[in-house]
Amino acid sequence: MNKASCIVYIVDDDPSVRRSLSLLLMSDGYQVASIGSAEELLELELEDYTGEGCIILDIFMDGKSGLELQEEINQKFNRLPIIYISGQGDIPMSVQAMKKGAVNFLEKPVNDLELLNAVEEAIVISRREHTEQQETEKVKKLLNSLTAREYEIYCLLITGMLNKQIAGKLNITEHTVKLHRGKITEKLGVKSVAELVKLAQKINL
Amino acid sequence: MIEARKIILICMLILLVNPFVFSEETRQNKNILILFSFVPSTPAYRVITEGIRTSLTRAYGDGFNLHMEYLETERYPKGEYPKERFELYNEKYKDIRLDLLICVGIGIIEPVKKNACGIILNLPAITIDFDLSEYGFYQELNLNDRTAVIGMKLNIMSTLNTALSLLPDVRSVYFISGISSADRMYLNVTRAIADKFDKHREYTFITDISMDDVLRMVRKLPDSSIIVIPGFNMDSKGVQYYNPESIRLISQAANAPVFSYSDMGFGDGTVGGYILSFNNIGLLAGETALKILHGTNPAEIIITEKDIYNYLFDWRELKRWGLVGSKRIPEGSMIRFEDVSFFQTYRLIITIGILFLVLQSLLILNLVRLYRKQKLFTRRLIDSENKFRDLVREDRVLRLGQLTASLSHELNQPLTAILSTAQAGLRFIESKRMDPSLMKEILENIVEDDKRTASILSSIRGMMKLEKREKERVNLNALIEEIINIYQSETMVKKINLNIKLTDQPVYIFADRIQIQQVILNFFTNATQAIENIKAIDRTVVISENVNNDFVTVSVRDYGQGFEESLKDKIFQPFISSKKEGLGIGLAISSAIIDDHQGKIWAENMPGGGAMFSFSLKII
Repeated sequence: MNKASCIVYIVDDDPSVRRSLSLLLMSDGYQVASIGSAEELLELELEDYTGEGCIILDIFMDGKSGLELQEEINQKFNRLPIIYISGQGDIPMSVQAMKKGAVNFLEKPVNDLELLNAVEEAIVISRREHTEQQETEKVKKLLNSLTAREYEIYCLLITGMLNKQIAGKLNITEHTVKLHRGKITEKLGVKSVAELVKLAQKINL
Repeated sequence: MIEARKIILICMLILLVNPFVFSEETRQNKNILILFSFVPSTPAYRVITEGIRTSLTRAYGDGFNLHMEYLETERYPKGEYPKERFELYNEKYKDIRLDLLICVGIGIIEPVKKNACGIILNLPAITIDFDLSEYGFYQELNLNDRTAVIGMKLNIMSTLNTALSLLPDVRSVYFISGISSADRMYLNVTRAIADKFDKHREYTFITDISMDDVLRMVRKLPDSSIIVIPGFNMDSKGVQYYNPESIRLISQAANAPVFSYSDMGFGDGTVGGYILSFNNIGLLAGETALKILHGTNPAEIIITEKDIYNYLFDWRELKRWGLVGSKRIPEGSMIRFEDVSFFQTYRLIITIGILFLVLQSLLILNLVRLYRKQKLFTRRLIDSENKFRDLVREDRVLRLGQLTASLSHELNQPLTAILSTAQAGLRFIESKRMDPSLMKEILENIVEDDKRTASILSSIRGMMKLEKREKERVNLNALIEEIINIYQSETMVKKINLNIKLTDQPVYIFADRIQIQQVILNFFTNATQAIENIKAIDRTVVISENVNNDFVTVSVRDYGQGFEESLKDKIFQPFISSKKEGLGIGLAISSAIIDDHQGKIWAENMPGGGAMFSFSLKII
């Protein structure tokens, strides 16, 4: 895993905490962005963002808390995993945080291994999601390359219908169906119907 | 001749015993000779003598002499009285100028007139004797033509009727009489009018009887009887009694009321009634004597006899016979020896005493009530005080809880930072990526965070000092001056101009000296930091003290930038600070202190720039 390609966003209103966590994560080889508040995080410009990484968010901060702004953060950061840290962690709050999609909830003072493991887990999740997203995008692109007729036939194919049945349903000749099917497999780069179905599953068709 | 010698001897004896008789003074004194027919110690005579003496004393004080002689006519039959006696008197009184002769006694005039000679016979005289002419007994009452006669009448009928009208149901009247000449006289005059007595009753005359027999008899008299004792001076055995004495004996034994004609025996057992008063006779004789001594012709003096009778009753006897308050007691009667009860005698004192006791009891009751009330109130007070203490304790626990939460957060931050920084350092070393500048940065970070932790802890210590302190009367001015002394060195170093505006008169408050100083010092520190931070142009800190009614306000003002208006309400909460350094705990502590002193604390941004922090406390 290339840690350098991951960005860890550290959001805490206490500069010394921010600084120390940055140092810790840097010592493990991560790229770090140190941010003073949740609002600042939302205003951040994402230039070299690779989609791999995570957010470490202090629950209690001046201004709006991380929990309050989680929806917006999720949206902006494409569901980038969030690790909450808190000086006064309690169960209801952690439950609420996890429900909203936090991947972890750590109490200050946090031990290095605990934090680094959490970050690593979060990054694995982010990376997996990132890969999946990329695949979905690819499939979507491929499916988009099909013509309307081809897409129609594709949709019927993955339901398990035979060429003859499709032809009957669409009022075309079985030969025409075969031609379209050849085009589809060509465009999507698959050989069997089983592979066609797999693709459809990836984009939840 | 032997008699003559005796007389001389007696005279000499008198001279020896009574030398004043011949003194110069006695020449001016009035000399009165009283001749009694019987020994002067006879009760009636004593009463008469006393009356005379009383009257004369009123007029002359000590300026008179009463000379007394008695003739014992009882012993000597009439007319055979020894003339030598009078010769002796003449001899005895020859050097004394006698002014008056008073003759007292039944039938006294006859022997005197017969036997007396010389001066005695020619003296102005007063006769005191019974005038019994109405009963048919005549006797001589005038000694000479210069005699005033007090002729006592025996109003036996009136006396008897008064007694009987008091006791109308009486059926038997017993006249019990002695045998002395006086007794016989009384009895005889009584018998003489016996035929005039009320015929419905039985009248029994008893005389010539021994006292023992009398007493035996009077014990068993029939019901509805009364006893009348005209006179009982000697019983049949020749035993002499004086009237009061015999009456006392008879009255004590008798089962019937006892009456008599005179006040002899009154107070000794007679009921009383319309009776002859020997005391009044004495007074009358005295007054008559005075008239004579003042030159009035005795023969011209008219004696009114009604003065010598009284309606007089003995209360004890009335009570004994159930006659107290009887309507048959004549109006205007004098009632003597009334047994006034203890209550009647001391009515006022008793009333006051009872009133006092009642008031005292009420007072004690009230005190007891008040005491109970007070106990109840005290208990309630203690209860409410305990409740208040509990509340304060709860409040303190609550505040401490909040504080602990805040503090744990505050401490967590630097601890987290230290931990993470140190662990980062270790990792850099392990991965051999550590270079000196990074090492320096890491260590500096750790040092800084550690200092921050220490400062939090010292703030906590300051906060803990708030607990448990005794308040006292404090001179606020002196307190502020002490603080200024402490603060002055800092102002000099930091080139701060301190402007002090304290009141002229000392102001006293009830406070914890150290805590109030802590508050003021905190104000000073804030002001100093405000000046330092902003690099203010006007480096002045003003401390002022203002008295308004019962309150004193102490304010510390600076000319810095002031505080954010949004913080105004929160500025006294813990960990709220507009400063980069510091915890924002100082003003919170100050607020807690002033709260604890029931005072007010506030902050304001001043129009001329800068902030002013103030607190006000009640003056005592």
